[in-house]
Parts: sequence; structure tokens; C-alpha cells
Amino acid sequence: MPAIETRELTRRFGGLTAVEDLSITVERGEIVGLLGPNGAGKTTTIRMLAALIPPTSGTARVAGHRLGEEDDQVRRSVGILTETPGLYDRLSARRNLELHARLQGVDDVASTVDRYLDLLGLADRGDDLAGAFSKGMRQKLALARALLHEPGILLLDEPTAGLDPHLARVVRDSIVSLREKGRTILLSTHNLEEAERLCDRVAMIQRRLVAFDRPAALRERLLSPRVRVRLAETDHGAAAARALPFVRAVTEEGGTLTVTLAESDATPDLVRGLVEAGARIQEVMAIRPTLEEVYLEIMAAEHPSTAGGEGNDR
Amino acid sequence: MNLGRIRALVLKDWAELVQERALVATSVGVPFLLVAIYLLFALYAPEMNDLELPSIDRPPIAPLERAEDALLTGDRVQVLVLRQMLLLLLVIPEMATMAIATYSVIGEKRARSLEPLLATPITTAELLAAKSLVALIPGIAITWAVFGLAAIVLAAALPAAVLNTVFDAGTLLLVFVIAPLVALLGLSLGVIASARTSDARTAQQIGVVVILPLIALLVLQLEGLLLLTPALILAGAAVLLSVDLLVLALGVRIFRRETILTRWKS
Repeated sequence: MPAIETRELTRRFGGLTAVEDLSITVERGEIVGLLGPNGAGKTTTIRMLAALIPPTSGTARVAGHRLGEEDDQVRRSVGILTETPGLYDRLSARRNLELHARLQGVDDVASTVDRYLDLLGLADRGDDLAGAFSKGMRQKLALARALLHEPGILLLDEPTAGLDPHLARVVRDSIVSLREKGRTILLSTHNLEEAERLCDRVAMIQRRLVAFDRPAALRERLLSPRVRVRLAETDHGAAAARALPFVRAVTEEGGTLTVTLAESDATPDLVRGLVEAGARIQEVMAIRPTLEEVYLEIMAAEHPSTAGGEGNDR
Repeated sequence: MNLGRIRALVLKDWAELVQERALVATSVGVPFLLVAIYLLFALYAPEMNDLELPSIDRPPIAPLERAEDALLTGDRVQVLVLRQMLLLLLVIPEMATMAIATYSVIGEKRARSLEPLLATPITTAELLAAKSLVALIPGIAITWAVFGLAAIVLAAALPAAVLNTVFDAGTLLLVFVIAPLVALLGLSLGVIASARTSDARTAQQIGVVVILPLIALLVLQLEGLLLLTPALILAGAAVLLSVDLLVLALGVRIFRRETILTRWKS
């Protein structure tokens, strides 16, 4: 049974459709990234899956429990990291965690809280006020809070937003270690590099699902393979490449050609063609398109004006 | 209802609230100021011997007059003033509870903690119960504390005849039954209002409207049109309890997680 399964999940706010006909399946132990510009419906999706807001239509099962009918069980099965940590600044880190442990019905509150403070590297700051914590520590504390009741599924909304690179890495490492412990993670992020690094699959949404696959598969499916060729001299090179039947496009910059191929296995034929045309090749390198390029390509095709993302997410 | 979850949230809120000095000062200081005014009036009432009792010839006040036939004129004035002012003390739990409840909601908004809170298995009814108890318990405790203080001071300063007339069954019913019920009604109305408005202060103002009937009672008594006898107070308590239960049920019914997220958040 999948960890999360949605079927045509839709949410409207008055006349505004925030999420439309979203159908995705997240397998157990998987990290799936939710990508999309601001206002694409990422936060609304996470809120629906956390049983915080009901869908307008469609169905979903979270940890096998039906959304809307077994919301209490859904909340027990899910840990959520909201966009802002939402901590009680005037209470200690320990007190923050104790409250949530009690609300979640954790059996041994004191030892569970100690264990998670220790796990997230906050053991020596447990009695400090949450308000005195740095951004990264707050995020770690919020992550500990989401984990207290040992949920099988974690819904993380922009977990590294606003963190400096070092702290973002600490949080990312925590996410990876959670996956290694078998947890399923649905991760909403703007950070495409982060998604590429962490996620087994990514769901690109723009109100509705635009693409859903492994980053590598999306790259292969959506972007033509490209090769960078550095030449000793540029004479004949570009023209020879353009003349080859499997070459789609060629750009030239300072002795380096960037060649877009029709097929990914055409690189040896390209090299042969160039050599036969008299070109002296110094280096050939396959260009691996980034997830960002894939994302921009998909979003531009889907909705040219919002590929960059503006406005508030809902 | 899971009492453990309610208790956890109440204790959390109190741990935060006690750190708000302004709130503590307002919630505790103002009631004590009110009771000081009450005592001032009570102790200086005998000086107002020449006061014309407005209710003396009006039929509803007759039982009071008969009950107080044995008292001297000064004592009767004192009894009248003490009884009238007592209604003002009923405003105390309303003021204190609404101030605390509003702060409690604003505190959640400020911390942006509603979303993680609502993602736990806590039910809407439990959340509303916790938020009501957070305010209701200290509000009532403060009211009873200032009433106790007033009783101690008055017991030391007033003749026994006056004291027995003022602190009769009706007074005790007002303080120990009507006051909590009025406070609960104000709170419930405030909570329901917060489902319809995104501003907690507006909700507070709506909750505070329950003070108006109290003031109306005060005016009616002063005008001699009504006398709050124990029987009448008990009947009022029964009506208030019914209204409280009705409003509470309505509050739980109309509140949804999404309402709290969207209305209490902005």
C-alpha cells in the first residue's frame, strides 16, 4: 500500500482553484519533492494531506487512512513541518516538545523529548527559551516536534527556506537520515538543487500536476541531450556539426560548441563526423541538464507568465 | 474529549500568560481597583444619610424595604449601595476572561503556532474548551478572590445586621453562580465571533456585550423596578445555563480546523 495516494484532489477557495485534479502516489520510504512557483498549490496540498483543510473534491489516502473520514488517524500518522516553525518563544525547547508529545499521546513524554532533543543536536539547549534560538535551531526544533510521535510520513513545507547554506545542509542531512530510517517524506521546496539532491521523484505542480517522475527521467524525457565540444580551432567545426542529420542545434562560443542531439547515444557519431570534417577535438563533455532547466522548461510550457513565480503560495 | 490534551494546552497557555506582565496587571489590578471603589462606597455610605432612596415608594422594592425595616436609615443606605454595586463586581470575570482569552488567541497568532497545533489529533471541541478554561479559571478565581477580600474588609467594618442583609443567599448566588455563567457566555460569544471575524479584538468586543444586561439589571434595581431575589437569581441562572450550553454547542458546531486556521491566523 502506498504511503500517500491522491485521486483528483481539488481544493477551491471561493472562486479560486488552488489545487486541481491532483493525482499522485508516494511509495513508502520515498522522498518526493513538490515543486512549483509561488501560488502553485504546494502548501494547500500539504495542508490537505495533513488533514488541516478538507479537499473540495477528490479523494486521498494517507498511511492507508481515508482523508475526510479518518482524519484523526491521518494526524497520528503524519508529522508536519510548517513553513514557519510556529514555536512558543516564551517556553523552553523542552516545554515546546512536551506539549506536542502530550497532544500526540506519546507514552513516555520525558524520555521521548530527551531522545529527539539529542537526535537533532539540541540536548544541551533543551532548557533554553525557543525565542533565543537561531533560525536553524528553530527549524531543527520544529523538525523534532514533527517526529515526536514517530510518524511514518513527514510533510515538510519549505524546510530550508531562509536558512544559511550550513544550516540548510544540517536540515537536509537530517532529512536524508530520516529516509534511511524508512520514513516517507513529501517535501515542498523552491530549491531545485535541494530537490535534485534529496528527492527520489519530483511532482511539478502548477495548480494541477504538470510532471511527476524521477529527476533523471524528467531530464531525459523533456530535454534533448547536449554535448559540449572544445575544439583546437573553430574552422569548419560548427558548420560540420550542423550538417549532421542527428544534430538539432549548435551554438558556438570561444572555440566551444554546444551541440543539441536528437538522441543521447549519438555522441560517438558526432565526434566521428567532426573529425572527418577536419576538426581537431580537444575535449568532449556530455551536458547534464539541471533540474532547474527541466523545471523552467516545463513551467514555461505550462504557463509562461508564472515560471518564475510570483505572489503568495496557497 | 481528551482531558489530558486540554490540560496540556491550558498549562502551556498559563506558562506563557504569566510572563505577560501587562496582562497580569490588567487582569488582576483592575478587579482589585473595582473592589477598592466598591469598598470605598460601602464604607462611606453611612455619610449619605440624607440620600433620598429612589425606590422607596415603588412596589418591586417593597420586600427589600420590609426586610430592612429593622435597620437604621444609614444602614439601609449602606445596604442599598452595597447591593447595587455588587452587580458591578459581576463585570470582573467578564473583563478578566475576555482579556486573557484574547491574549491567548493573539499569542497563537503571533507565534504562528496554530498550524502545527491543529495538525495534532486535538479536536476542535478540545481546543475551544482549553482556550475557554485558560481564561475562565483565572477569571473566576480573581472574582472570588476580590469578593473574598471585600467580604473580609466589610466583615471587619460593618455592623452584623448590615452584613447579614447584604451577604444573603442572593448575593452568594450572584457571585458563585451567575458570575461564572456570565463569564462563560461572554467567552463563548467571543469565540463564535472569532469564527466570523479575523480580528480577535473585535471578537472580544462582541463577547463583552454580555456586560450590557448586567448594567440593565443595575439600572432597573436602582430605579426600583426590579429586585434580585434569590428565586429570581436562580431562575436567571437556569436561563443563563441553558443559553451557555446552547452557545457552546453552537460554537463547537460552527468551528472547523480551517476556520481557526484562516480566521485566527490573519
